[in-house]
Amino acid sequence: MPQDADVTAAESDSAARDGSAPLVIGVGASAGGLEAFQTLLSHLPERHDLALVLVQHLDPDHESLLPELLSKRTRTPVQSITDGMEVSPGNIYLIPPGLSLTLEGDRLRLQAFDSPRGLRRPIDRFLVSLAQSAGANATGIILSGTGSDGSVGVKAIKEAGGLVFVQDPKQAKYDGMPRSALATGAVDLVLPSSEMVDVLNDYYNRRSGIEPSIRNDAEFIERVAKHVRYRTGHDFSHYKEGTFLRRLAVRMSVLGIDTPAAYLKELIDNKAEAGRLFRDLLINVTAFFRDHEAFEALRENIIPKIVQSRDREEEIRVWVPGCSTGQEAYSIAMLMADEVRRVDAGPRIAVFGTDIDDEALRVARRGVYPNSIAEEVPAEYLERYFRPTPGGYEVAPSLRDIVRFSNQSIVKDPPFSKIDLVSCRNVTIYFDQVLQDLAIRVFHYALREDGFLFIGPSENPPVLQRYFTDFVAGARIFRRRAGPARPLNLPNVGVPTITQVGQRDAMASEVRQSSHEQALLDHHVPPFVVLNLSNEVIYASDGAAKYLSVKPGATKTGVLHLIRPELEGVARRLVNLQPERGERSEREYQGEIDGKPVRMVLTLERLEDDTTLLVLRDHLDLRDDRPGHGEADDGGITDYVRDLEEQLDGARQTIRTTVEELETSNEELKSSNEEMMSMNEELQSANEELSTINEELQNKVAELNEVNSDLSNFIHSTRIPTVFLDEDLRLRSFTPEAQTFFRFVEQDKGRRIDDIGADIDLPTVLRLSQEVLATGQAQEAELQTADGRAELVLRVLPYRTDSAPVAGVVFTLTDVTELRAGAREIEHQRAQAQKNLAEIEELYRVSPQAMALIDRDMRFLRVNRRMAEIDGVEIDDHFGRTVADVMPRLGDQMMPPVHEVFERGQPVLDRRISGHTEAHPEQERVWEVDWYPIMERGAVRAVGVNVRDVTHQADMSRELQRVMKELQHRVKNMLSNVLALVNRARREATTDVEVFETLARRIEALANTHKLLTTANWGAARIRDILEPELSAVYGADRVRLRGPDLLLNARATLSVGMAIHELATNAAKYGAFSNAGGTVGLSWSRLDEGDGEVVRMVWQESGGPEVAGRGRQGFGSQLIASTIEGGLEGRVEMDWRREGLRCTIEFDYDLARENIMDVSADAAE
Amino acid sequence: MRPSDCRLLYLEDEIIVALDTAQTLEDMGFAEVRMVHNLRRARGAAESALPDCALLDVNIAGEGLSIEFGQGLMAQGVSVVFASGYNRHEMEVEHAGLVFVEKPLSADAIADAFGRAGLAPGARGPSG
Repeated sequence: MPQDADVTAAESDSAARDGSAPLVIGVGASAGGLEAFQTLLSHLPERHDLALVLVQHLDPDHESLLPELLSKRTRTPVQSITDGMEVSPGNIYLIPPGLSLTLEGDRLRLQAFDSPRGLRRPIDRFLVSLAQSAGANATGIILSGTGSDGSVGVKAIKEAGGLVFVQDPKQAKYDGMPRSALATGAVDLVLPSSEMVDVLNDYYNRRSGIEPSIRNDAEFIERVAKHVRYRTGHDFSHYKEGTFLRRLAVRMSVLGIDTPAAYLKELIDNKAEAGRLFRDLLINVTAFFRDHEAFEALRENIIPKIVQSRDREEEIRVWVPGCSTGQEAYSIAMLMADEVRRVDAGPRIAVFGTDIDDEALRVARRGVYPNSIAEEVPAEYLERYFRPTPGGYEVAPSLRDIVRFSNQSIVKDPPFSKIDLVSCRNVTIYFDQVLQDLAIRVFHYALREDGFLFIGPSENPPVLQRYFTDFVAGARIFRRRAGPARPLNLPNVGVPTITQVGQRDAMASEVRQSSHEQALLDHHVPPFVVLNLSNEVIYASDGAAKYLSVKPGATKTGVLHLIRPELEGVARRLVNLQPERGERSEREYQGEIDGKPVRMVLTLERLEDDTTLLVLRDHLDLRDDRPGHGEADDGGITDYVRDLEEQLDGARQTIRTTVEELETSNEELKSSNEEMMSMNEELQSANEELSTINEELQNKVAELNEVNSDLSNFIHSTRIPTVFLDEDLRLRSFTPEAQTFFRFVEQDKGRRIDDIGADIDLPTVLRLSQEVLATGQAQEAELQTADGRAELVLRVLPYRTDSAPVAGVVFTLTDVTELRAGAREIEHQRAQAQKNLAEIEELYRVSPQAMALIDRDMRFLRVNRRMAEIDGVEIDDHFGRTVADVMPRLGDQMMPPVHEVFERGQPVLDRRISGHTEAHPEQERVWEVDWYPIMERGAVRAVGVNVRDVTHQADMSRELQRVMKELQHRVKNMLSNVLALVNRARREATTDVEVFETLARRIEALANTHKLLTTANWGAARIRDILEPELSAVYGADRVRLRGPDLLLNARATLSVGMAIHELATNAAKYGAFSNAGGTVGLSWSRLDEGDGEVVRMVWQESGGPEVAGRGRQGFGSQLIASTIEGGLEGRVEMDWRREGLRCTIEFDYDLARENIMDVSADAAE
Repeated sequence: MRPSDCRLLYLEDEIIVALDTAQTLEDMGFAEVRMVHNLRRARGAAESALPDCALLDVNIAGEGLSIEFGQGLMAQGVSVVFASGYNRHEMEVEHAGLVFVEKPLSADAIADAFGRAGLAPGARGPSG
């Protein structure tokens, strides 16, 4: 590749530039680069001397937003590059879309791409030009991206002694480019993008201090070389001093070491450092078919020759010393293999790749290369000799088997032998003169007779011509000169120091072989000079010195420049004859030299080794005529001819130089073109990818717009007064509702909020806003409007952006007047409810009635103290327990009503239960219980239970009954006595027997009624039970007809009714229906309501008795009836003596007759 | 056995009632009415001559109940009716197997009771 020569040139003179030229940093990125650029740039200090040139893969059809995006991240000016722009420190330069960027000197050049999209490699292109222009001052940074653009560039930078950083692939969004760059081995540091600027600054600061301090420290360099030799076994003391120094400075800067002593210490302490420096020193950039034309020449001229010269059984041996990572070796192997394949017959091939860098050899042996080799290797070879892998290509076994890699030092280890071709390109350029010469001798030694040497364009060791002849000049292919190999004497190499360059002339040592020869040469042989092929003087005998002179100006060693002007014309004519080997020609010169007339014969002879011997025989007679040779010059013509010849020579020289230059540049152009073409495809695909990303981005922008519009609509639709302020509290935006409280108009945007009138407490708003700006924490406060009519909640929130944590504030005002009023009302009602609840609680607590609440699972929700006392269980121990658990012996009685209430939603009241609880385990208690539903939204939520302990009442009731019973007993005994006495009197009476009879019967009736009542405990009697003993039982059922509903009458009514009916019956027996045989009595009764409450009406109707004469007398019976009914029952009696029989109507109040009826059945149950 | 064939033992501590009732019993046609006013005499009377039937007041002042005595008689085949101021039904429930009549006594009630106690219905009393 053409830059090789330039790079070397740049290296050689870069020392002069250090410190003065700007530090140009080329930054390359592709997909994911924006983010990496941003983090990189955001770490730039405010002032710096760096010139950053950002090269990004950009879509040529779209304008780049990059300058705008990046200028937000740094205060360093961001320049979009225009053609010819000068690079000056403290600037960032951005590549424009669609153009290729290079650096020429300190100017940036833009050109149209000369390769189609997809094959463009703008990063490589720029970095290569950067390496050429800036040399050791160049820094290359590779950031996120896909593909492998930049890999070639970083190699170029590394080769030029620059610095290479690569973004940590783990951090990079796309790691293709960083990994590809790393694979070149030309990377100094792998860093996150955020640290690069700091490291870079550090590096330059250090380096500018380090280089001068170590440059003159020969001892330091020697000691470093010694350590490296000790650790690695390789001696770098013959490396070019400039290269060595630069690598050292880089290592020291990267390590952060300032002084030589500290670096030596590090070298001693850290074993790896020697290896690291060794690796850096060995940076040997190589590529497949590097310098395409040369390889083409090799393929055309050399390979077939070698293949043809070997039989099938023989072996072709190729040696590639300094093979580094193997590309060169594989390239030649491919050419060989292809030729052997083409002629379909031929020898075996063995390619030996050697290097002293084990790491590089490891890569070479593995034979796996990145995708970028597709640009270096012709497609047919790629297909034939490589297999694609996920990350690139792997050397196919057929090729791999041909090549053998081993660790071997050109200058230290014994070389290979019987080699057909040595290919050693760009290896010896790092060597000093001594090593270069040695290397050439080694190659001479290793090659067969007629073997070929293939070297790099800038390698031109002085001894090359002695051992090799040009074979294909433009392609740097040489052929071994015939002759036995010289002994190499290898172990002695390494002793000479660097300063020995050019001390001795190797030719001289060969010419002076012995003292007699020396004497002969010094004193008896005419003066002579030895010229090389370029007619340069490489040796001059003692006597020749007087004919040679050094002219002022740049010293040239061409014989025509050195020879005295008087002899120049003759010499030129001789030289221009260009004799063939072994041919000899002569010219005579007659004239004056130093004022003395001389006659000389100059003889030029081409020797076998392609050197030329020019003998100047000067000890001749002035008058010796030698026809054919004696061509005397006569003044004018001679001068004229000489001038013409000089002009001709000059013209020839110029033409040759021009042709060479043209050839070179033509080659360069061709190879550039080739390379660009091969890049086409990858860039095209990368571009497609970028276009896709761009499309996605545009979609994102559209989405963003949509979201933005949504957001804006949302903000306006909230109808919440909202105000946006920037960090100076200037109005940024507001919702229309904010105008309720602020006298905003659209033009107020940008004014400070406190300049604008407001109906609210502005100082509070300001204070909170400033607090939010300071702390980033949201704030809230309550405000009133100036008129005090509305209550507001002010919420101030930080306005955050990606770039700033607090870039302003947003505050909202919420009208909470109604909310507050509502809240107060709720609070009031809550307090009321609380009070009510407290009252209920208190009631619950102090109520003598035991109360409880039971849920559907029969668990107690609430019990009061009284309930707890009954249960004999603490209040708190009720909760969560079931009824059956708390009162095991009462569960059966308690639970069914609970279920009933839950099912029907109706209360169950006054049910009596009895049994034992924990409170009185021994004594049976009796309770009266109400169960009632607690409703909640139409459903029974719980059942409330009221329990009254009626054990005492029940006891009382029993006692009362006992007393009553005793009383009845006594009453009846008393009646018995009275009746007995009346009976006695009746029996003894002689007159008024009837009186006694009547008295006895009345007492009996009274007693009967009593009996009736006592059966019901003085409670109540059924009306039929009162009537039947008086009527049906006495007079026969056939004569009495009773009709009426079943009524229950209380004690008073029973006695009264009984008495009245007894009297009516007695009367009927005397005078009425019962007094004859056929009379009957009908007694009917009914309840009826005639408006004044229910009454019972009884109708006594006699019939069939003796005809009633008229109104009966108002006897004791009638009086008794009237007084019992009217007096005792507040009723009414009506007697109607009809002809067919007495009709008596009795009416009394039903309610009065039912008063105090005790529950007969309940009592009976006791 | 008809009442007219019966020798009756009547125990009643209330003298007035005893006299009246004895008259009633005689009126009812019992062949012999032996009236005693306390349990001791009743036992004596029963030992000397076992009656055919007996009407025993239950509560005898100073001596307690006549139930046990009456049951003893019943065990010897005597038809026994107990007289009590208490409710007849309650008493019959309380003392199963015994026949009670409620005071004040009437001839009908006594007859009815002896009927239930196994004697044939007697003649109606003078009061009808």
